[in-house]
Amino acid sequence: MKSWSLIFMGTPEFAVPILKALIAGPDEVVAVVCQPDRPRGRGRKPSPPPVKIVAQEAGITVYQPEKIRDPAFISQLKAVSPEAIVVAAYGKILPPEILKLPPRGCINVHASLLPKFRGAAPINWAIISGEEKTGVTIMQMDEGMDTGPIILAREIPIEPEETAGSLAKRLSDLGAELILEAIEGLKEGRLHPRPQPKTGVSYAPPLKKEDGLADFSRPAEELDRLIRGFDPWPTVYTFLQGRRLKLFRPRVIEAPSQAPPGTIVAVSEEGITIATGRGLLLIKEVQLEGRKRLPVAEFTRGYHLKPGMRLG
Amino acid sequence: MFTSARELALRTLVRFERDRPPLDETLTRVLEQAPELSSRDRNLVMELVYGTIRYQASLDWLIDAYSKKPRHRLDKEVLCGLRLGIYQILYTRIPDRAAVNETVSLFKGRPTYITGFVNAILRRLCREKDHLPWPPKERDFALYLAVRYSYPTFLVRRWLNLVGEEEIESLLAAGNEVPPLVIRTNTLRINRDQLALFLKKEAQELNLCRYSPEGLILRRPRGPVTKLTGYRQGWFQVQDEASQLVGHLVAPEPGQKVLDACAGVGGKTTHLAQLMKNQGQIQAFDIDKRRLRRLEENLKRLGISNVEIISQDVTEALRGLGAAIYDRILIDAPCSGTGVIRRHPDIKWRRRPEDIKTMSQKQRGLLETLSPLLKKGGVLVYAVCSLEPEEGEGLIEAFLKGHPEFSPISPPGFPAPGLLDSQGFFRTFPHRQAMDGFFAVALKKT
Repeated sequence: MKSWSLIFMGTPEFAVPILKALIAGPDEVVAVVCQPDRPRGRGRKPSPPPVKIVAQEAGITVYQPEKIRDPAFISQLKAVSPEAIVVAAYGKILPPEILKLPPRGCINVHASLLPKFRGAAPINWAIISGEEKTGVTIMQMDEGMDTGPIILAREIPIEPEETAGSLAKRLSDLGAELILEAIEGLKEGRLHPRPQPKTGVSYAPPLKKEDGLADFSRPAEELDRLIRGFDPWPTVYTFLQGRRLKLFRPRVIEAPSQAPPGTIVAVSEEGITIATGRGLLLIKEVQLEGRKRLPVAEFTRGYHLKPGMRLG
Repeated sequence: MFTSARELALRTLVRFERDRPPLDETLTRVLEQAPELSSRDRNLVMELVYGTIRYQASLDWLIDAYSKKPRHRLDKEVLCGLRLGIYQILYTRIPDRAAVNETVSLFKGRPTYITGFVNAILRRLCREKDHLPWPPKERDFALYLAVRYSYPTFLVRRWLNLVGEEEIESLLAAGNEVPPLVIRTNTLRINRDQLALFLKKEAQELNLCRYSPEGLILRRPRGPVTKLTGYRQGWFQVQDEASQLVGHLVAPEPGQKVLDACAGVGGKTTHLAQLMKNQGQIQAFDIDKRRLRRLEENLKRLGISNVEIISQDVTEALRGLGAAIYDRILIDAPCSGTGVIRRHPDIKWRRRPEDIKTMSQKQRGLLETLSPLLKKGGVLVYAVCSLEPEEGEGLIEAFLKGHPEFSPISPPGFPAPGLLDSQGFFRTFPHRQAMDGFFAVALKKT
């Protein structure tokens, strides 16, 4: 079977396994496109996105246009004339000029079971909404936001203590497998894109930092999902004696509580137990502003937490 | 157990008085629970409920004049019963004696001071029918209008500013008229002339709409709309002419990608689909799941397949999309609804003066969030069923100041160019065009 020349467009860690699979696969990745280097980490120094590092190690040309519609960049793409463009979490909507450029079109690896959770944050929203399963969809891109026809999809269960971080890892590995299958299927004419169902559509908009402020009057299970859906970014936080405290690794404890929401009702080796609007919430890991993320057992060695203290 | 039309009417009125639920839905539910009712009685229930709520302020004025007990201390059932009785005496052809007796008998089994009280007030009203104690016109014109035409005073004052003294009474009166049934032919299935032939026998009078090329007006249809010929077959959709014209302002073409930001039950959504010949894609957003279920039913009935239903807040869902992907955007914004009072008289008693400001802020928010999603050369249509300039002309003028890339247009082939003013704004009034009161504008992005 003839091999395809591909351009890969993607930016963050999620895209890395997919790019690696394509490089190792039967087709040739002739160029990689990602977002420009941006300030990252504590030093706020401009640093390359994860995809760029992988591409450079493999000796592949990297484009980082500031503006995707830049005519110079588009003519470069035309010059490369790929068979198809594979897109995974690139971070920008593609204009029609690019969508129409390769003969096989643009193929997207999307981290949800479409048409559920279209948009920028499908992994987070799957957890926040309390889904039992999610998955990866390989889709032929069109002009909408994740509205194109589906080539292939596969589901996986969401585990009880799953975070957005751990789920992203599993989904990007699944995406890596699936993109190779999809391209092979398209080449052999076995797979045909079919339109997305008209029902069950929902959108997963980008998360906002301010949505991470914990509202302990909500039920414990809702807070549990929010904390896991916001981990590692943008994180759920509250305030402990006026200082910002980030919350990680929650578990719901089914027990009634009379204490006002936000009260620490128990402190143990395992974690702190907090009263909520309905039920109790155990938090196993915390991070105080300016400090490291720590298991509660270690945190309490330096910072004395007592039952009866109020958070928020 | 058999329930009489008046009992059902009273029950509905009490429910409305207690927690102000949406009137049309409440009435539908009440009627569903009484399947044994003849169609004549159903019509009577509807007329009594709608009429009593329409004239509530007038009725209350008279109750205040005749009752020694302050109105807020009356038992809710007694208050609603009085309103129902007075409405029949003043505004229907029901003979006075029947109106009084039937109303009093609603309180059978209650203590005699209640039946006596209701009886006395209604009888006195019958006697004094020709010289009722209305407020004098000269002293406070707005109060007089508010009482005689039954509107909240703040609305009367607003509308006096809006249309002036010459037109105010006809505007208020138009809001109290029983509107005709207006439908839109589903041209995916049938053409208007054919449909008119089928429906001719089903209403006392049938006319073509003056402007909308798909519209038909039915007066006194026989039976509920869902029982009319062709309803089940999806030959038409209930929709006022003004609302149909909004669809023609959007003027989408087959194959385009359209955002319908606040779809509701889909009167306009399904019209857009029809104009697109069921080709291309419409994304219909709304947060109200109940309304979306009705939209889904309508899509199925009308045979429309290019609409995607999304039950999310459109501004939340499309937040951060940051790309111009739509050829057409329709923002049929949530509003005060003061243009559709003739269809929903309960709106009069639901609105507070401060609502208009809150609404207009929300409307501005929708415009600001969604306008960047329109492609260059695309058209955004903003519409409200409100007469208030803060939700219409004023809002759009302010928006245009901040957005020079948008300008009003009259889409080629728009069937009612005469209803656009010099600025390109579409404006209708119930008393001028005998349509719902709408504001709309088509803005082209350059």
